[in-house]
Amino acid sequence: MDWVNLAAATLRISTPLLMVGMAGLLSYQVGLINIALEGMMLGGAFAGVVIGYEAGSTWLGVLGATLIGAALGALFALAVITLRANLIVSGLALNFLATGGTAYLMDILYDQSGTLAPQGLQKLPVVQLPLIEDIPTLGRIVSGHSPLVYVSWVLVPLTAIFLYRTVVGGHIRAVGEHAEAARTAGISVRRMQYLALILGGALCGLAGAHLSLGDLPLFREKMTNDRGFIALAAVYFAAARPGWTALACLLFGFFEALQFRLQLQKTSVPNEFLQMLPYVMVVLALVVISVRKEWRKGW
Amino acid sequence: MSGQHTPLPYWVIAPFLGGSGTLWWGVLAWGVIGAALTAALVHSRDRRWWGGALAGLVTGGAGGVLLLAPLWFVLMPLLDRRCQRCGALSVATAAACSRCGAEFTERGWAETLSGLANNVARVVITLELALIAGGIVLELSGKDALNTYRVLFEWGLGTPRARANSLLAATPLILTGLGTAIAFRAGIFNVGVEGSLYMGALAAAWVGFTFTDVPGLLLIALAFAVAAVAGGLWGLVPGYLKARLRVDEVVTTIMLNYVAIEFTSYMVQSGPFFVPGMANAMSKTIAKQAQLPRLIKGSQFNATFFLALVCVVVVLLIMTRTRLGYETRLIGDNPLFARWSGVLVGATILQVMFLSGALGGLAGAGQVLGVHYNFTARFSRGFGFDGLTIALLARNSPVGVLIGALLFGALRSGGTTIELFTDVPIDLVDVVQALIIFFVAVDLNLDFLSRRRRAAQPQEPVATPAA
Repeated sequence: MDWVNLAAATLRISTPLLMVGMAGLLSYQVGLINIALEGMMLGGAFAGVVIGYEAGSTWLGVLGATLIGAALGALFALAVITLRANLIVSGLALNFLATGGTAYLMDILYDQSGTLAPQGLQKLPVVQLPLIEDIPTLGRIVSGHSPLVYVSWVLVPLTAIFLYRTVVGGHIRAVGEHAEAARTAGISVRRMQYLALILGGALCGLAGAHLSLGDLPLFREKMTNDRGFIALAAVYFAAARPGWTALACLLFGFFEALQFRLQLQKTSVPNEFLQMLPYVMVVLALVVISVRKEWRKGW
Repeated sequence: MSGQHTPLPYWVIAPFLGGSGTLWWGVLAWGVIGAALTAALVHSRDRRWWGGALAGLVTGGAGGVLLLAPLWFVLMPLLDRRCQRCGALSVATAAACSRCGAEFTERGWAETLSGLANNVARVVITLELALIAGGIVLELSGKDALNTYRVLFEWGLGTPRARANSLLAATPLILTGLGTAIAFRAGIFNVGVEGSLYMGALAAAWVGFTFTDVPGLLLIALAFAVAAVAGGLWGLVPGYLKARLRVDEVVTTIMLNYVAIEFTSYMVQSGPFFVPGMANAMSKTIAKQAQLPRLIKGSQFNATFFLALVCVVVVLLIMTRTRLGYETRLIGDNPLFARWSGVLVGATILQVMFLSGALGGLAGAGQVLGVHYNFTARFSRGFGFDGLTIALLARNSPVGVLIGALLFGALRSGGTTIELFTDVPIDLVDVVQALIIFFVAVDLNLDFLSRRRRAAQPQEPVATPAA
């Protein structure tokens, strides 16, 4: 097995997970379980291709994807916070809306179904990191990815700094910790929740842009492939601590990369079991967390 | 009227005629009439005209007056309740006597019926709202909305065959809807009925092609039973995790759906049920005597539908007449209170999850025994998720689930044809479905039929996610 390629693939595959993980973490920290990550990501992926193609610039596509993601986050926030809709139900609704809406728009706008790969849309340029590129193995693993890969690495410490070193971040955590107490202390709970969901939406949009513009410039129906839920599980897994969440995302990314490799290698393990792997991992992760929590409580 | 024979005022029949420009006026006219009618009626009975006006405007627009007016004219007067103290009559939904103010204590059949009417109205109105919003989407994207809907309804309800196909499409949705509803009642947000459906379908197919010597009815009964058990056991997995280890069920059930889908695909693609030489990933065909006959020519409509109807009654009875149903509601309303009143919360959760999964398993078995006659990998077109939508729409009432599933079946069945006969992509149905869920989630305060309910029902989440 080619370990260098596997490591590089892990980094590439983990990128959207990292971004969405940070998004899920933000909403977790503000006390909202965000089921809609998936839908926001899909919306971003679609917007990235459409806007990038129409504007003739991939970077504008990335910007558009981020904005559309933020807009979907705002819509979700509107339903959940202002209209007091049920969190899970409206999350599922947003996912449905993204799945159906992107397919519908693809048909209406471009008369395509299944896959949208506009002619002339460029993928994001590959970044060769100066110096690091020349280090033998490390260079091949770390260098030569799409720029959003590196953005995702920066986003993790940024999220941590935002949450733990800024006033607004502190307020967000306070709201998640104890909304009533935060309100008493003069923090606007609604504003913090809106902020967290909209920021999360933007991150999801960015992750979507990575999926649709990072490797091949195309959009496929349901191309997010439940990454939203996997990232959510990573958030659970790490109890919404940025560093651990990132690590969990990398782990899930590694499993996915490994699964691709194993599929190609025609191992004795059937394909379906490999595809099951991330989902089983998520369930196991949740079980482990709960068991640990129960242990701490002493049953 | 020169030269043109018009038997009725134009706006009355306009909704049923062609020509899209005038159609909207017809729809609008019906809406205004509906609004006035229901407003007047509600005002005379309940003195809350605006709720009725809103409802009339919404339902009237799609001809719902026809549905609501009889309800008010005939049903409601019948349901007037007589005060025990002063003998005055009050409207059926009143919480207290209108003259002397004595509170009604017993929950009579009047309230049950009005609750039922409430559920029906909510389902119909939400669907109509979603269709109207979908129409706006269609018009915005430059399509002829009314023509699309005409095709949708023609192929959903127009001919006997279309109706049979709609009932066929509704069959699994009734079962998955019931399965989801019974879990929701207990405050368990079970998204995993889809997984149980796959497990049940695989089990039914296994029984069907293994025990080929067993006579017909017995084999069919056996297949359904094994499917129910298989689905139920699959439902027990997240149930156990929730009851024993307090693992949040939302994410686990979503994940276990994919596990079930992959597992069943494996079984027919390369596992024990793999059939060499078969091009698609499907199992052997089930025994001839296990194949449910098609009851209507040109449609795959079969007896599973009646099984589903029986299940509606059974679930209704379980929910309203048994200890399990009572405890389920207790847990759903307040788990802590339930526990302190002596309900074994964990055991009840397990029972509910088993039932919920079993209903999903029956839905899968129905598709195998009545439609496909084998197990095909990934055959479900999101029956579980449609069931979830329906359960939300019906607020977990079994009768509401039945109505919602029938309407949804028509929507799905008709939806498959809109791509054939119009230039509208089929994904529109998904968009409409998303809008329905949104409307349900936002809860548009459609409880105009009952004053008491509206006062007593704060915006409570269906299930509180464990943080």
